[in-house]
Amino acid sequence: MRHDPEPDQDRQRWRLLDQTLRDLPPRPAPGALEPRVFAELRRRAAQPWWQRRFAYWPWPARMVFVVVCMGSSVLALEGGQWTVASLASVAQYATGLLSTVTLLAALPTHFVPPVWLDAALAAGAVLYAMLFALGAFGYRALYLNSPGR
Amino acid sequence: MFMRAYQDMVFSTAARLAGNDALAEDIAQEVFVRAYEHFGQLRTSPAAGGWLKTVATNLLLNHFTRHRKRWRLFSEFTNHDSAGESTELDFPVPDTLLADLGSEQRRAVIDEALRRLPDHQRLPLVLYHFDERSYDDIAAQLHVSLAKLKTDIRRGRAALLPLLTAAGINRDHLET
Repeated sequence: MRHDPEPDQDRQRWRLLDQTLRDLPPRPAPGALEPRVFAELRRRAAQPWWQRRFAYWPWPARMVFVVVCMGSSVLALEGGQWTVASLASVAQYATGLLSTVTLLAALPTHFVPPVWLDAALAAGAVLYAMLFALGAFGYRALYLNSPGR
Repeated sequence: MFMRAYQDMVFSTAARLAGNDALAEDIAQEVFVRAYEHFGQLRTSPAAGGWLKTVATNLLLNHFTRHRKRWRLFSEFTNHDSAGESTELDFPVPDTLLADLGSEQRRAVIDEALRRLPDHQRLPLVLYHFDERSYDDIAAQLHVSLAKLKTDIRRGRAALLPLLTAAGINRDHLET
Protein backbone atom coordinates (compact mmCIF):
# COMPACT_ATOMS: atom_id res chain seq x y z
CA MET A 1 0.00 0.00 0.00
CA ARG A 2 1.07 3.56 -0.62
CA HIS A 3 2.26 5.61 2.31
CA ASP A 4 1.99 9.39 2.02
CA PRO A 5 3.83 11.27 4.73
CA GLU A 6 3.33 14.78 3.27
CA PRO A 7 3.11 17.82 5.53
CA ASP A 8 -0.46 18.88 6.26
CA GLN A 9 -0.29 22.30 4.60
CA ASP A 10 0.42 20.76 1.19
CA ARG A 11 -1.78 17.73 1.49
CA GLN A 12 -4.86 19.34 -0.10
CA ARG A 13 -2.92 20.72 -3.04
CA TRP A 14 -1.18 17.46 -3.73
CA ARG A 15 -4.41 15.51 -3.45
CA LEU A 16 -5.93 17.81 -6.06
CA LEU A 17 -2.92 17.32 -8.32
CA ASP A 18 -2.94 13.59 -7.72
CA GLN A 19 -6.61 13.35 -8.64
CA THR A 20 -6.14 15.47 -11.75
CA LEU A 21 -3.24 13.34 -12.96
CA ARG A 22 -4.97 10.09 -12.11
CA ASP A 23 -8.07 11.03 -14.12
CA LEU A 24 -6.04 11.97 -17.16
CA PRO A 25 -6.96 10.05 -20.33
CA PRO A 26 -4.12 8.21 -22.10
CA ARG A 27 -2.36 9.89 -24.96
CA PRO A 28 -3.28 8.43 -28.33
CA ALA A 29 -0.35 6.55 -29.83
CA PRO A 30 0.91 7.94 -33.15
CA GLY A 31 -0.44 6.22 -36.22
CA ALA A 32 3.09 5.33 -37.28
CA LEU A 33 3.65 3.12 -34.23
CA GLU A 34 1.85 0.05 -35.52
CA PRO A 35 3.62 -0.02 -38.93
CA ARG A 36 6.92 0.58 -37.14
CA VAL A 37 6.38 -2.39 -34.85
CA PHE A 38 5.48 -4.72 -37.73
CA ALA A 39 8.41 -3.48 -39.81
CA GLU A 40 10.74 -4.16 -36.86
CA LEU A 41 9.26 -7.64 -36.40
CA ARG A 42 9.79 -8.38 -40.10
CA ARG A 43 13.35 -7.07 -39.91
CA ARG A 44 14.15 -9.26 -36.93
CA ALA A 45 12.53 -12.27 -38.52
CA ALA A 46 14.74 -11.78 -41.58
CA GLN A 47 17.93 -11.74 -39.50
CA PRO A 48 20.21 -14.78 -39.73
CA TRP A 49 20.09 -16.96 -36.64
CA TRP A 50 23.50 -15.99 -35.31
CA GLN A 51 22.45 -12.35 -35.06
CA ARG A 52 19.47 -13.20 -32.90
CA ARG A 53 19.43 -13.75 -29.17
CA PHE A 54 20.90 -17.01 -27.91
CA ALA A 55 17.48 -18.36 -26.94
CA TYR A 56 16.46 -18.25 -30.61
CA TRP A 57 19.48 -20.12 -31.98
CA PRO A 58 18.87 -23.63 -33.38
CA TRP A 59 19.64 -26.27 -30.75
CA PRO A 60 22.67 -27.84 -32.53
CA ALA A 61 24.27 -24.39 -32.68
CA ARG A 62 23.51 -23.85 -29.02
CA MET A 63 25.09 -27.21 -28.14
CA VAL A 64 28.21 -26.46 -30.18
CA PHE A 65 28.47 -23.04 -28.59
CA VAL A 66 28.21 -24.50 -25.09
CA VAL A 67 30.84 -27.15 -25.86
CA VAL A 68 33.19 -24.54 -27.36
CA CYS A 69 32.72 -22.33 -24.32
CA MET A 70 33.46 -25.19 -21.95
CA GLY A 71 36.54 -26.19 -23.98
CA SER A 72 37.76 -22.60 -23.94
CA SER A 73 37.29 -22.45 -20.18
CA VAL A 74 39.28 -25.66 -19.69
CA LEU A 75 42.02 -24.39 -22.01
CA ALA A 76 42.15 -21.09 -20.15
CA LEU A 77 42.46 -22.89 -16.82
CA GLU A 78 45.16 -25.23 -18.12
CA GLY A 79 47.01 -22.32 -19.71
CA GLY A 80 46.87 -20.41 -16.45
CA GLN A 81 48.30 -23.33 -14.51
CA TRP A 82 51.05 -23.83 -17.09
CA THR A 83 51.93 -20.13 -16.96
CA VAL A 84 52.14 -20.16 -13.18
CA ALA A 85 54.34 -23.28 -13.25
CA SER A 86 56.61 -21.73 -15.91
CA LEU A 87 56.98 -18.51 -13.93
CA ALA A 88 57.86 -20.52 -10.81
CA SER A 89 60.62 -22.44 -12.64
CA VAL A 90 62.01 -19.21 -14.17
CA ALA A 91 62.08 -17.62 -10.70
CA GLN A 92 63.89 -20.68 -9.33
CA TYR A 93 66.51 -20.50 -12.12
CA ALA A 94 67.03 -16.77 -11.56
CA THR A 95 67.53 -17.31 -7.83
CA GLY A 96 70.18 -19.98 -8.51
CA LEU A 97 71.94 -17.75 -11.01
CA LEU A 98 71.99 -14.84 -8.58
CA SER A 99 73.50 -16.91 -5.78
CA THR A 100 76.23 -18.21 -8.16
CA VAL A 101 77.10 -14.67 -9.25
CA THR A 102 77.22 -13.56 -5.62
CA LEU A 103 79.58 -16.41 -4.78
CA LEU A 104 81.84 -15.59 -7.74
CA ALA A 105 81.89 -11.90 -6.80
CA ALA A 106 82.89 -12.74 -3.24
CA LEU A 107 85.67 -15.09 -4.39
CA PRO A 108 88.53 -12.49 -4.69
CA THR A 109 88.11 -11.52 -1.05
CA HIS A 110 89.41 -14.96 -0.12
CA PHE A 111 92.69 -14.60 -2.08
CA VAL A 112 93.45 -10.86 -2.20
CA PRO A 113 94.64 -8.97 0.94
CA PRO A 114 92.10 -6.36 2.14
CA VAL A 115 94.62 -3.53 1.84
CA TRP A 116 94.93 -4.20 -1.87
CA LEU A 117 91.18 -4.09 -2.30
CA ASP A 118 90.99 -0.76 -0.44
CA ALA A 119 93.81 0.60 -2.59
CA ALA A 120 92.04 -0.56 -5.76
CA LEU A 121 88.86 1.13 -4.66
CA ALA A 122 90.70 4.35 -3.87
CA ALA A 123 92.52 4.21 -7.23
CA GLY A 124 89.18 3.71 -8.98
CA ALA A 125 87.74 6.74 -7.20
CA VAL A 126 90.76 8.89 -8.12
CA LEU A 127 90.63 7.75 -11.75
CA TYR A 128 86.89 8.57 -11.88
CA ALA A 129 87.55 12.04 -10.42
CA MET A 130 90.31 12.58 -12.98
CA LEU A 131 88.04 11.50 -15.78
CA PHE A 132 85.38 13.93 -14.53
CA ALA A 133 87.91 16.76 -14.34
CA LEU A 134 89.21 15.97 -17.80
CA GLY A 135 85.65 15.99 -19.16
CA ALA A 136 84.93 19.35 -17.52
CA PHE A 137 88.15 20.83 -18.87
CA GLY A 138 87.43 19.53 -22.36
CA TYR A 139 83.90 20.98 -22.23
CA ARG A 140 85.13 24.39 -21.19
CA ALA A 141 88.07 24.45 -23.57
CA LEU A 142 86.54 22.98 -26.69
CA TYR A 143 82.87 23.88 -26.48
CA LEU A 144 82.30 26.98 -24.36
CA ASN A 145 85.28 28.85 -25.80
CA SER A 146 84.74 27.81 -29.40
CA PRO A 147 84.72 30.76 -31.90
CA GLY A 148 81.32 30.03 -33.38
CA ARG A 149 79.59 30.22 -29.97
CA MET B 1 -6.42 -6.63 -31.95
CA PHE B 2 -3.90 -6.89 -29.10
CA MET B 3 -1.73 -3.97 -30.11
CA ARG B 4 -4.59 -1.57 -30.74
CA ALA B 5 -6.02 -2.39 -27.33
CA TYR B 6 -2.85 -1.40 -25.50
CA GLN B 7 -0.88 0.98 -27.70
CA ASP B 8 -2.32 4.19 -26.19
CA MET B 9 -1.58 3.02 -22.66
CA VAL B 10 1.97 1.95 -23.54
CA PHE B 11 2.71 5.13 -25.48
CA SER B 12 1.25 7.31 -22.69
CA THR B 13 3.35 5.58 -20.07
CA ALA B 14 6.50 6.00 -22.13
CA ALA B 15 5.76 9.57 -23.21
CA ARG B 16 4.96 10.83 -19.72
CA LEU B 17 8.07 9.26 -18.28
CA ALA B 18 10.33 10.28 -21.15
CA GLY B 19 8.99 13.77 -21.82
CA ASN B 20 10.00 13.14 -25.40
CA ASP B 21 7.72 11.70 -28.09
CA ALA B 22 10.47 10.27 -30.29
CA LEU B 23 11.97 8.34 -27.40
CA ALA B 24 8.52 7.25 -26.28
CA GLU B 25 7.83 5.84 -29.74
CA ASP B 26 11.10 3.88 -29.70
CA ILE B 27 10.27 2.49 -26.28
CA ALA B 28 6.71 1.60 -27.26
CA GLN B 29 8.02 -0.20 -30.33
CA GLU B 30 10.43 -2.25 -28.24
CA VAL B 31 7.68 -3.06 -25.75
CA PHE B 32 5.48 -4.53 -28.48
CA VAL B 33 8.36 -6.40 -30.06
CA ARG B 34 8.99 -8.06 -26.69
CA ALA B 35 5.28 -8.66 -26.25
CA TYR B 36 5.32 -10.49 -29.59
CA GLU B 37 7.96 -12.84 -28.20
CA HIS B 38 5.64 -13.67 -25.28
CA PHE B 39 2.45 -13.40 -27.22
CA GLY B 40 1.43 -16.96 -26.39
CA GLN B 41 1.09 -16.11 -22.71
CA LEU B 42 0.03 -12.47 -23.04
CA ARG B 43 -2.81 -13.04 -25.51
CA THR B 44 -5.11 -14.52 -22.92
CA SER B 45 -3.59 -13.10 -19.77
CA PRO B 46 -5.61 -10.57 -17.77
CA ALA B 47 -2.29 -9.11 -16.56
CA ALA B 48 -1.11 -8.23 -20.08
CA GLY B 49 -1.66 -4.50 -19.50
CA GLY B 50 0.40 -4.55 -16.32
CA TRP B 51 3.15 -6.53 -18.03
CA LEU B 52 3.33 -4.04 -20.90
CA LYS B 53 3.37 -1.08 -18.53
CA THR B 54 6.12 -2.62 -16.42
CA VAL B 55 8.26 -3.37 -19.47
CA ALA B 56 7.76 0.17 -20.79
CA THR B 57 8.74 1.66 -17.44
CA ASN B 58 11.79 -0.56 -17.05
CA LEU B 59 13.00 0.12 -20.59
CA LEU B 60 12.66 3.84 -19.99
CA LEU B 61 14.54 3.71 -16.71
CA ASN B 62 17.26 1.60 -18.29
CA HIS B 63 17.55 4.17 -21.04
CA PHE B 64 17.98 6.98 -18.54
CA THR B 65 20.50 4.94 -16.58
CA ARG B 66 22.53 4.24 -19.69
CA HIS B 67 22.61 7.86 -20.70
CA ARG B 68 23.31 9.10 -17.19
CA LYS B 69 20.53 11.57 -17.38
CA ARG B 70 19.21 10.69 -13.97
CA TRP B 71 19.23 12.30 -10.62
CA ARG B 72 21.88 14.90 -10.48
CA LEU B 73 22.78 15.98 -6.97
CA PHE B 74 21.45 19.46 -7.57
CA SER B 75 18.08 20.54 -8.81
CA GLU B 76 17.83 22.06 -12.26
CA PHE B 77 14.58 23.75 -11.53
CA THR B 78 14.58 27.42 -10.60
CA ASN B 79 11.45 27.47 -8.48
CA HIS B 80 13.18 26.85 -5.17
CA ASP B 81 15.22 28.87 -2.75
CA SER B 82 18.95 28.68 -2.13
CA ALA B 83 18.53 26.20 0.72
CA GLY B 84 17.12 23.73 -1.74
CA GLU B 85 13.55 23.64 -0.49
CA SER B 86 10.71 24.40 -2.81
CA THR B 87 9.08 27.77 -2.40
CA GLU B 88 5.56 27.92 -1.10
CA LEU B 89 2.87 28.59 -3.64
CA ASP B 90 1.74 32.16 -3.18
CA PHE B 91 -1.57 32.10 -5.05
CA PRO B 92 -4.91 30.53 -4.30
CA VAL B 93 -5.38 27.05 -5.67
CA PRO B 94 -8.87 26.38 -7.05
CA ASP B 95 -11.00 23.49 -5.89
CA THR B 96 -10.55 21.76 -9.20
CA LEU B 97 -7.74 21.90 -11.71
CA LEU B 98 -8.53 22.57 -15.36
CA ALA B 99 -12.10 21.51 -14.72
CA ASP B 100 -13.49 23.79 -17.39
CA LEU B 101 -11.41 22.17 -20.08
CA GLY B 102 -12.24 19.16 -22.17
CA SER B 103 -10.36 16.00 -21.37
CA GLU B 104 -8.20 16.31 -24.50
CA GLN B 105 -7.25 19.90 -23.69
CA ARG B 106 -6.55 18.95 -20.09
CA ARG B 107 -4.38 16.09 -21.26
CA ALA B 108 -2.45 18.38 -23.61
CA VAL B 109 -1.86 20.96 -20.87
CA ILE B 110 -0.67 18.39 -18.33
CA ASP B 111 1.54 16.55 -20.79
CA GLU B 112 3.15 19.82 -21.84
CA ALA B 113 3.70 20.80 -18.21
CA LEU B 114 5.23 17.39 -17.46
CA ARG B 115 7.48 17.72 -20.46
CA ARG B 116 8.91 20.94 -19.01
CA LEU B 117 10.04 19.27 -15.81
CA PRO B 118 13.63 18.03 -15.59
CA ASP B 119 14.06 14.26 -15.78
CA HIS B 120 14.92 13.82 -12.11
CA GLN B 121 11.61 15.41 -11.11
CA ARG B 122 9.36 14.11 -13.88
CA LEU B 123 10.26 10.44 -13.51
CA PRO B 124 9.48 10.04 -9.79
CA LEU B 125 6.43 12.29 -10.12
CA VAL B 126 4.96 10.19 -12.92
CA LEU B 127 5.78 6.94 -11.14
CA TYR B 128 4.12 8.23 -7.99
CA HIS B 129 0.99 9.78 -9.45
CA PHE B 130 0.34 7.71 -12.56
CA ASP B 131 1.69 4.35 -11.47
CA GLU B 132 0.59 4.82 -7.85
CA ARG B 133 3.79 3.38 -6.48
CA SER B 134 5.07 3.93 -2.96
CA TYR B 135 8.01 6.19 -2.18
CA ASP B 136 10.06 3.20 -1.05
CA ASP B 137 9.33 1.33 -4.25
CA ILE B 138 10.27 4.27 -6.47
CA ALA B 139 13.42 5.10 -4.50
CA ALA B 140 14.56 1.49 -4.80
CA GLN B 141 13.91 1.39 -8.52
CA LEU B 142 15.61 4.70 -9.21
CA HIS B 143 18.54 3.96 -6.87
CA VAL B 144 18.15 7.23 -4.98
CA SER B 145 17.70 7.93 -1.30
CA LEU B 146 14.22 8.34 0.11
CA ALA B 147 15.02 11.92 1.12
CA LYS B 148 16.15 12.85 -2.38
CA LEU B 149 13.13 11.21 -3.93
CA LYS B 150 10.75 13.13 -1.68
CA THR B 151 12.53 16.38 -2.44
CA ASP B 152 12.34 15.74 -6.18
CA ILE B 153 8.67 14.85 -6.06
CA ARG B 154 7.91 17.86 -3.90
CA ARG B 155 9.76 20.18 -6.25
CA GLY B 156 8.12 18.60 -9.26
CA ARG B 157 4.70 19.15 -7.77
CA ALA B 158 5.58 22.69 -6.77
CA ALA B 159 6.62 23.37 -10.35
CA LEU B 160 3.70 21.56 -11.95
CA LEU B 161 0.84 23.01 -9.96
CA PRO B 162 1.38 26.67 -10.94
CA LEU B 163 1.71 25.65 -14.58
CA LEU B 164 -1.60 23.82 -14.46
CA THR B 165 -3.33 26.53 -12.47
CA ALA B 166 -2.10 29.23 -14.83
CA ALA B 167 -3.21 27.21 -17.83
CA GLY B 168 -6.64 26.73 -16.29
CA ILE B 169 -7.00 30.42 -15.48
CA ASN B 170 -5.83 31.61 -18.88
CA ARG B 171 -7.65 29.52 -21.44
CA ASP B 172 -6.29 31.64 -24.27
CA HIS B 173 -2.98 29.88 -23.63
CA LEU B 174 -4.55 26.70 -24.90
CA GLU B 175 -5.76 28.14 -28.14
CA THR B 176 -2.29 29.23 -29.20
